[in-house]
Amino acid sequence: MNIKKQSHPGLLTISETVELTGLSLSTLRRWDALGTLKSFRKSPHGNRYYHRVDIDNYLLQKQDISTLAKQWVQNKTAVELSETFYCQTRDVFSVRLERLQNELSKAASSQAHDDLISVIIAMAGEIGNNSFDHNLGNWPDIPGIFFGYNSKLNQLILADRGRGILTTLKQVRPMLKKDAQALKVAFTETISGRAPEARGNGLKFVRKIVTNNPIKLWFLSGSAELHLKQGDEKLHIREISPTVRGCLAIIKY
Amino acid sequence: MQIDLNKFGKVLTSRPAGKEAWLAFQPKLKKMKDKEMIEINFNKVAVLTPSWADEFITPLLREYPKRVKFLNTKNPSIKASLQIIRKEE
Repeated sequence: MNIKKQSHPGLLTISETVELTGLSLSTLRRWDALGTLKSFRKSPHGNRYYHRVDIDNYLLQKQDISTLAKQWVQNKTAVELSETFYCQTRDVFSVRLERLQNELSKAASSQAHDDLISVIIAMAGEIGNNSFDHNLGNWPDIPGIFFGYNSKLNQLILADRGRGILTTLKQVRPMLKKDAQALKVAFTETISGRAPEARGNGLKFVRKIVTNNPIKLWFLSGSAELHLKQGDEKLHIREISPTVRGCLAIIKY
Repeated sequence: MQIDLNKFGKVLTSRPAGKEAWLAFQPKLKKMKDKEMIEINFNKVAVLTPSWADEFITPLLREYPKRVKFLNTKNPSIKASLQIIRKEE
């Protein structure tokens, strides 16, 4: 999918809308006629378009936030994000993360549940802050991250259109060639793209948290996807297509 | 000397925030007596990450080995973060 921001800013064609929502053409036409999800035409006989914000709202109602994030990092060209999910700066992310911690902790049904919230927020903090640490001054197109929480599915979603794990680690490990190799190194070795600074524990910490708790993690960067769950001793990494720009993390608990 | 980390926030996650806290703590450290113990109190800290801890706890452990004591570390994010940064000592 290639949304050309320059020619249709904030708009989606009907085929792009099909791809993004998973709805069929006939459903979209029916919903258009009923006024459920309205399209518009630039001229009386021109093509149908949808406002991006309407589709974001539809996906939000459906609570399909991970699809939204996935599309955002898979798009070849940068598209604007809804303010609901967009954290342009670290400060915005920190405020939203703390707010989420507060809400989830208040709703926690037991001490064990609250303990789980504590490590989930710590993981999200590490992953989100990693995006800012490793792309500062080097964002390829859109600075900042996608940060969303799906309360129905108990899912946290973080994504960035940064340089990705391979490019970052290549600075200190020029021999790395593939995204899958880089992902493995990032989750197993204490190494940082910002060496010689004492860094590089973040994703090892994330691995430890996931394998010791009832949590599932999908972490995508470039052409590689890592899947990790409680009790896993080995990393499960596979090649994926289409590739993602930067990183996408889905945390489910 | 006791330092209550909740004075720096309840959710301690980013490196810049850890670095800021470390800098803000320097005047207090300079006033410390020789051989005085440093008690780091995690009471009311809800979340700690290794990134924040790397900027505050790691330099403290490096500069004052054997003089740092941790209090109220039951929270699992605190426990896991301390374990991972202490492995690097």
